[in-house]
Amino acid sequence: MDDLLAVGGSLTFILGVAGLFFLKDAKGVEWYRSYAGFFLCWALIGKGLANLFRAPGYSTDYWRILAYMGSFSDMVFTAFMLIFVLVFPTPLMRTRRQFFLCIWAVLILEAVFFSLAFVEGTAGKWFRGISYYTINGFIWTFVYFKFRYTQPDKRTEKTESIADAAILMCMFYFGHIWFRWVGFWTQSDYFYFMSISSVDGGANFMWSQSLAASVIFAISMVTSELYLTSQGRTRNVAYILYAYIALGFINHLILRDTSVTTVAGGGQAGQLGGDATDFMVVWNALTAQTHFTLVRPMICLYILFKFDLVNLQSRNDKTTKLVAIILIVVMTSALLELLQSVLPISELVSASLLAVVIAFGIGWEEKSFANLTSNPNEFPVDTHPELYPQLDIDLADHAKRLNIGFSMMVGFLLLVSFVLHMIKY
Amino acid sequence: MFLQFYKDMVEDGNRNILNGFVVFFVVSLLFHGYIYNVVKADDIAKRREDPLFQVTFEEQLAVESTEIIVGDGEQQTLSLDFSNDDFRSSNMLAMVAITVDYEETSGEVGDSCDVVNVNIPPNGFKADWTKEQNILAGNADDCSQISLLVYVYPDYDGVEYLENDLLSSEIETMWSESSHGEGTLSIQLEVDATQPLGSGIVPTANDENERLQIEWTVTWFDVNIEQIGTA
Repeated sequence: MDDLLAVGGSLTFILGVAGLFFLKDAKGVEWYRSYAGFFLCWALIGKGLANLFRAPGYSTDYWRILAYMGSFSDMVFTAFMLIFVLVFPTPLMRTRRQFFLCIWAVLILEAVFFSLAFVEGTAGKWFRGISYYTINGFIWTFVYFKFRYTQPDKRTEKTESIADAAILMCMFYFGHIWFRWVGFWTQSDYFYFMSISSVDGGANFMWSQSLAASVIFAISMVTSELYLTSQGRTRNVAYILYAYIALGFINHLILRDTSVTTVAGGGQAGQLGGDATDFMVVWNALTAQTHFTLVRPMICLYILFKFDLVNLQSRNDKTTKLVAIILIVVMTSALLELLQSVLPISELVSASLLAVVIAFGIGWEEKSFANLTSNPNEFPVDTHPELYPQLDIDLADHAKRLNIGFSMMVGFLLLVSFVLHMIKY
Repeated sequence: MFLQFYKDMVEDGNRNILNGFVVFFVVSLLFHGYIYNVVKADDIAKRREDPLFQVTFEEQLAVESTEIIVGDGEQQTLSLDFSNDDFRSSNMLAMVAITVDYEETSGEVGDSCDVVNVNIPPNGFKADWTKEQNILAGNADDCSQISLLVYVYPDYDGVEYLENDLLSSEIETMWSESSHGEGTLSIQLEVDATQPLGSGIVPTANDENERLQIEWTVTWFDVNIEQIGTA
């Protein structure tokens, strides 16, 4: 059992479900805000399920169900991420017709990919490396440059926060690849040998290309942020970006002579090559795997709450606060446990040290919640009305039907996994 | 729609920056394509094109035994815990074979073999309990050997095989789940002593217990993965 993946999967799943719960009575909320929250929550449910199914490993009697359901849940995740990027932080759609057309197009595309999973040979494999990272990353980076370099007379805190959101979404989606950015330029094996399971050469190229694109977006944004810092326009999110890039340098020093075979994320996908040392395993757990499992839901929690994508402002009930605080506390506890497990001191000493840290931080979870929900970031509708058209689409009119439909879709995939297991496909 | 989005995004102040980003993006992708398909093509082809792995298993046997005296009509439980075994650190537990031997030891004239029942309850120990080949119960009334077998690691049969659907690291993971074999394996032993001729008439002619020799053989394995070509 991969505990880190299981904890991360649970958190991601709970965050998604809680978000849908908050959104269930989101009437009259701007369509790009409520639908962004809705799609992101479903993406989180998909990723949470994928991580939960992969966490037990494949040495069980029912490994086929776990393997298939892990892959199918990832399809749910990528589909909703593809819809999400069309809405947040800046919607690409300009009309109601375009909006529904985009949703149907993505769902049909995913249905085709799902069918291709059962086609033998290259035709059935090529799509597995399709560049979701490239598509999403390109749009987000484009939005980042648009709003970070918007004309001075239009530049406000709102436009800056949209650029921040674009950086954070890139970080959420493929931040674990950024730890290997040096390898892309130095032609290192640990970057070019990264793969998604058993795909053929063509699909591997597409996959590798999407990893390269992830690095290109990071370098573009970090270069820009360095320039802006030199101009006295530093944003807090830039420091996180710098930290990832700096860790990428150290990562290169550690992995430069290895040939890590699979992707840098969590669980089965996080397995290192045969020449990995114990230190590399710990390092990977503290960087890429921690990002993949714990930091991802943290970033989403921030985005969902700070941009009020889940309609918190109109809900002021205790349940909302309780769920949010539980999520914050569990994430932090899991992170501390992870640190404790790798600190080179006895558990008793490290537990005492952590207890001291926690004692000083009493009440921090309340403060974190207050910081997240007070003064939510606004969309720059006043300065860029052309980018935020007011459409006659209300999530409240469709949420129930969409939730039932998407739940049936996940249930159907589970059933297919079970059937594939029974026929030993 | 995308064209409209592009037009909306581009304004006088940021046109050069957005175009610069697109140029950098395209050039960097070309760099990646060149490295992947030209510079590292041979290495990647060797490593990536459906590698074919031969998966073999190296087995180690650990044999231990003990002796237990079980009273007539009584049941005793022998508990086995393999968590501190020397093999545990680098091997996986494949199966546990148990044999129970006994002979009539009362020394009484006309005392035939006792009835011995051996049973392994499927709990408290992580094993492949649902496997049909498990032998979890046995008995004897003629002093013959009783053999039981518990398969621990799911799907393990010790036979080498070829694999081309998984990566080396995935195969390694599949055969490295050390939680199998955790817990305590309980062996319940029960004796129903047959009484010698004259019991009840001759006061000393009684069979009150039986001495059982229990031997268990634990099979440990370590997986070896070797790439032998491409599929």
